[in-house]
Amino acid sequence: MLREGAYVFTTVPPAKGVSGRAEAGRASGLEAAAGFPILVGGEIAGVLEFFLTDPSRPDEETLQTMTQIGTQLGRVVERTRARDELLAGRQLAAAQAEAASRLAAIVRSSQDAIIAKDLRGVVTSWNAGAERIYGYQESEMVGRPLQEIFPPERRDEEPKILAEIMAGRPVENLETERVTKGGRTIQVSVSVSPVYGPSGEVVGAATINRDISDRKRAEAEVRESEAFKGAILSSIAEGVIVTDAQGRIVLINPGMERLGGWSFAEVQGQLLTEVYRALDQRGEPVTAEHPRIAELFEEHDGTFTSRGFAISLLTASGDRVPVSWTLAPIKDGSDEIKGQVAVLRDVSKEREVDQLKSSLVSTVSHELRTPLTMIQGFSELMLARDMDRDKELQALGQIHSAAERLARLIDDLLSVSRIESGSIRMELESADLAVLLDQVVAAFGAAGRHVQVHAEPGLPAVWVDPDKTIQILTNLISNAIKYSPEGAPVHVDVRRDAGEVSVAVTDRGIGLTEEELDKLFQKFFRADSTDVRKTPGTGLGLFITKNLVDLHGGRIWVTSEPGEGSTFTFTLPTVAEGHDAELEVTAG
Amino acid sequence: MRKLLIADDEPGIRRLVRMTLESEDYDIVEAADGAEALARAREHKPALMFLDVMMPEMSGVEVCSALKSDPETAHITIIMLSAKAQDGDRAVGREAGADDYFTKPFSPIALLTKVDEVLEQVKPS
Repeated sequence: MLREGAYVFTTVPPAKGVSGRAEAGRASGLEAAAGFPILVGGEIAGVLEFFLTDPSRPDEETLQTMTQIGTQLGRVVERTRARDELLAGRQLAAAQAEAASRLAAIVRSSQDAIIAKDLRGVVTSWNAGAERIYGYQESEMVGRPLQEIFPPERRDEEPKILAEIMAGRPVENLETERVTKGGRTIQVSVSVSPVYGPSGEVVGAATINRDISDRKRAEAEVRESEAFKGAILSSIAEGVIVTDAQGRIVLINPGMERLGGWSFAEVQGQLLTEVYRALDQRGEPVTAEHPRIAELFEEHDGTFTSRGFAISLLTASGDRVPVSWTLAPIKDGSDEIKGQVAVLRDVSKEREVDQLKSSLVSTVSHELRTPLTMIQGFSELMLARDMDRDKELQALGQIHSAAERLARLIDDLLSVSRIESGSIRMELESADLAVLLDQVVAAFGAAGRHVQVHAEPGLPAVWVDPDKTIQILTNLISNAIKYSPEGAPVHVDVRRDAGEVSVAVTDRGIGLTEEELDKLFQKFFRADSTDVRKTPGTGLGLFITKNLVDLHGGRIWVTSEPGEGSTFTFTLPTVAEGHDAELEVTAG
Repeated sequence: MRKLLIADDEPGIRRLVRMTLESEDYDIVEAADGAEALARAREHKPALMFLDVMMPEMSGVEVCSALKSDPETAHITIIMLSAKAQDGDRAVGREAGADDYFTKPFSPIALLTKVDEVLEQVKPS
């Protein structure tokens, strides 16, 4: 009843111990109660309650008046509430307006492009940032599809973005490209969020684009610079090892992978000293505590460089490769050491040359000392003693042949020196090889050595330096005699070929092994070891001979069977082959 | 007659030594390589031998070691002849048991003096 705005009158019912309030009322002598509703907006906001000591019903006018009071009270409350609500509403609107204007300011002043679009992808708003980045004014873009700023090959991005948005999922930090009004392609980072309508459905999208061209360019530059540094390191033929301050390997280059035999993956993070072991010439490991460390490395400003051929590297395959080893600290601007860089160079070739040089010194020393001993010894005897004429002639003969031998040795050394410096002068002319060969063979005949010559009749003239040709023939024939058993004949066979004449010199000597054949024309090579020598000589003859043949544009090769003998064959060009004899002679 | 052995692959050197010593009363045996030197030394057991270091077949150092380690030939006085002058070679010769060392070129008169001196000492045999 109260709910309908009517009053309620009730007498207190007989005590049945029902409610505490009724009990209390009765105890106070109250017999009846009247209630009048206070209605606010149709709802009971409160009740006016009156308790009476007289159980009889008040008159209707009083009850109506009380009801009116309740109603009026309700209206007062209603008005108060309405006024409060109005006030609150105004404040809210103001706050909302303020927030909106602040947001608008943010959007306006943003360096990023902030763009709103509808679900078809049509631009609905375009801020100053977008104008700045893309060059289009707001008026140009609103109402047009955003896809217009996509490069052709990226047009398919928009349907995918819109699909995500419609599903309520944002797209974050998509790094892509867009095209400006000026037609320039720029790198952008794109974030897109769905925009919801009042009833919670997606009605559009807000997209923020950031121009990351500069960042991308900087990144590309860093990448390029890193790649360039990597390329430099890879191009260095020497092995390079970089360690951190604790000596752990952070980098090795391909040169080091080749030299040491371990890949970068195998050694990364390991201690340099545990992977790459330096050995001294006795094969003892070299550490900072090595007793002769100062003899092995020289130090300059904290950089250590191995001396000469003092250090070998123990490789993955267990080989010992002689290396030049430099170890330098890596410092930045401060004096703090960030790590170390080691550069290793394989010096096997240099060591070989060095050993060859020592062997040359030893060979030349021997070759010089032997004839010198004879010259000095026989002359000393002649001076000290009275000799008969016969003895004197013997001694003089020895002195003379020793002097000749010295002269030949000096000639050979000079030839090598000229060959190496490229200063040999060739005086080419048309010559008859048979005549030159006769000269050489006659000289050997005079010395008691027989050479059998077989020359094809009607040989064409050759285009040669006659002195050098005689030198070639003399070297090869004397070699053949030297390596032939006493009395065994040496054969010389001369033939014509297309554009050249070939000369083959065959001996019945010790022959040569495969390995010897490979090295035969190298300087100072001898077909026997240094201390156990089968024949005298410096090992210069074949080197000189090959170079002289080369200078004529000919070829030289050897065929041999160990124990059977060897045949050295060389070719010389004929005059007819591309040479105008008269012209070249005048020009020369 | 006292036997002397001269081992050198250079005929000129052998001739020089022979000419140097021929005024004295020696029986001179020659060898042209290391193997021959070893064989001749074992065969003739000379009082003294000149041994070239750089020789075919066997080096003088190898011949020297072989002779000095054999009781039959250990008493032979060995004088190495070398065209190498480095101290290292001298040491190698000493290690092999050589009694003396001459570097080429050598003085034949000094060689003769050395021979007299050595043979004077070993005379009792």
